[in-house]
Amino acid sequence: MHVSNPPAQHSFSVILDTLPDPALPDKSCPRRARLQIDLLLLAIEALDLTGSEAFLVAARELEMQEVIGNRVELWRLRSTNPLRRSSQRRPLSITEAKALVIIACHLARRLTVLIRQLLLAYQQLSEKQLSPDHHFRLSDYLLRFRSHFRSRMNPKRAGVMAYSTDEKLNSLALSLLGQLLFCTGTAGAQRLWSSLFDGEVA
Amino acid sequence: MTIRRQYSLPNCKLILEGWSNEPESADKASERPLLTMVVNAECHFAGYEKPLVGGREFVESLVKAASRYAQEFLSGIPHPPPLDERSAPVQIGYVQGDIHRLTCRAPESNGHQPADQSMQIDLKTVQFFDLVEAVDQMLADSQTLPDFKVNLVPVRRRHVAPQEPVTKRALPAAIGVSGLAVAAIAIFFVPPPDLRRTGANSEASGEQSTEVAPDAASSSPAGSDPPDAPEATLSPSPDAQPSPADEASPADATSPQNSSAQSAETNSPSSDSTPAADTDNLDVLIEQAPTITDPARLEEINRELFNRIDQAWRTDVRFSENLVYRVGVNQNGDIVGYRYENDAALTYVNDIPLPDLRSTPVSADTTSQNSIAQFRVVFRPNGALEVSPWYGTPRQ
Repeated sequence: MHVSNPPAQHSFSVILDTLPDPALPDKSCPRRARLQIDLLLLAIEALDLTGSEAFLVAARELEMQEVIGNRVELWRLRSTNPLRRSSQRRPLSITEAKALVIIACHLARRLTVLIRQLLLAYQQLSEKQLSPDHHFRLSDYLLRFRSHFRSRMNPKRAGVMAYSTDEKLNSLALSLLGQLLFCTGTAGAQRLWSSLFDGEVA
Repeated sequence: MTIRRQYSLPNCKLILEGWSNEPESADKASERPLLTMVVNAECHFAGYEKPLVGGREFVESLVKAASRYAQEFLSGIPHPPPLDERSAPVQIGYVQGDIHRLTCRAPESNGHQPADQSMQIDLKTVQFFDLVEAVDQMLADSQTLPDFKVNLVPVRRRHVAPQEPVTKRALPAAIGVSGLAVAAIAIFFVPPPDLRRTGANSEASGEQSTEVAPDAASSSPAGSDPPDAPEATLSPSPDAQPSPADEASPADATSPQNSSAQSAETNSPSSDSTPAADTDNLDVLIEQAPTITDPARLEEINRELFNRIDQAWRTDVRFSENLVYRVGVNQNGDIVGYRYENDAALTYVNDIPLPDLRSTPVSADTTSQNSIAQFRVVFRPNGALEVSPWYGTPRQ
C-alpha cells in the first residue's frame, strides 16, 4: 500500500491495455455500451451501500484519477447513458469506457460472494416458484435497484418506459446480477469489454 | 510421465491429462512442468455423475463454445458459431429463464464411448459461469497448453441478425420515396408561374386600378387611336376647368405610362378608365418604389432638378399665386411623375415646363424598379423657383 509506484502513468495504461481497442467506425462508445456500463454500475450501487464512493476509491486504487478524478467527472461519464434524466450528448471515449469497465469488474470481484449467494437464492426460489421477495437480501437488492433506476432514469424515454413495472425492473436487475457474476471471473473484464461492442464493429 | 491439471470450481471441475514434449522442462521445472499435449480431458458438473470426456478436440470445442456463449450471455446478441465449428462436439445454447443447455456429442473416433451417445446438460447461470471460469483459469495458466488461445472479439455488424423484419425496416424509406413521388406529380400539374404582368387585374378593377403603366398598356386594345392618347393621358388642356376628369389627368400625366405612349404598338389607355386609374399613379409609384434616402444623393438630385426646371422655364408668368407641385424623381434624376398640390397649379400647368421635362423611360420596368425621391417644386408669380425635398432634408 505504501509502496511507491514510480511509473504511475505506466501502470495505468498497462491496465487499460488489457482491453483491446475495438474496430469501431468512430472512436466513441456506441449507445448500447454506454447504457450497459452505467446499468452495471447501478447494479453495483444497489449491492454495495457505499457504491458511488467505492467507484472513486477504486479509481484511486487503480490509479485512474486521470480519467475519473472526482465525483463530478464520474457523474459526467455515467451521464452518457442515453436513458438518464441528466443524459449528456458528450461522447464516451474508449479510454473512459475502459476505465469504467475495469472499475466495475474490480468492484464486482469484491462482491463475488454476495453475487453468487443472491443468484443461487434466486435459482432456488424460482425452482420452488416463489417470488424473490422471500429472500431478504435478494429483495433488498431488487428494491434498491428499482429505486436507483427510477430516480435516475428519464421516465419519458421509451427505453425507460419498457421497465414500467416492478417485475420488469426485477428481471433487469437479475440479468445484470448474472452479468456481474461474469465480471468477477478471471477474464471477466475482457469478456465484458468484448461483449459491449457486439454487433457494432465493422 | 503423465501431467494432470485440475481446475475446480463449486459447480464444475475441469481435469486435463497429458504430457510435455518439451525436453528441457524435465530438468528444471520439477514443480510444474509444461503441459503441451492433452490426452484425456474430463469435465465434471455438480449434479451429474458422468463427466464429459474427450481429447484435444473436445477441449478446444468446449473452450470455444463456452467463450462464445458467455459473450452472447453478456451482450444479449447471438453469436452464431462459424461454419467450421457447426459440427464441433460441444454446443451451448439458451433454453429459457436462466437455463443454458450444453450438448456434447461423443466423438466417433474415440473408442472409449459408444458413438451414439450424446450428453445434454442443463446449466443454471451460476453453473455455466463456473464452466467459463474453469476454462478461463486454464487459459490463464501459462504452464498448460500455452499455444491455446481464445480470441475474444465482438461479433461483426453484418453477422447480427436484424432485430426487425425487412418490411418494417423498409417502411420509413418507402414512405419517404413515395411521398417524394406524390409531391413531384402534384407539382407537375401546377402551371409555371406567369411572369408577364397580366392585365386581368386592372381590367377587373379598372376604375381604381393601382397597376403601374405597363398594365394599362397591355390591357388596352391596340386598336384605339393613338392621337387621342397623349391628349387624354398627358396633360389637361391649357384652359381646362377643374373637373373631376381633369383633376385626375394631371396626375395621370405624371405617370410613367408615357412609356406606353412612347412604345410603338400601343399608347392608348381608354380615356374613360385611365384618368381614374392614373390618379394615384405617383403615389402608387412611390409606394412600390423604394425611397432614396441618401442625403448626399438627395441633395444632388435636388440641385439637378432645380437647374433643369430653371433652364426650361422661359415662358411669361401669367399666374398670380404660387404653383405647388409634388415631383417624383428617380435615381438618374429623371422626372418620373408630378402632381399638382393646389388649384392654380392645375390651371397653369401648361405655363410651366414640367410636362415637357417629364422623362420618357426607355423600358417600362426601369420606372418601377428605380428608387424615387419626392420634391416640392414651387413656381412663384415673381419668377422665383423653389425646389426642396418633399419630406424635408434628412437629419444628419
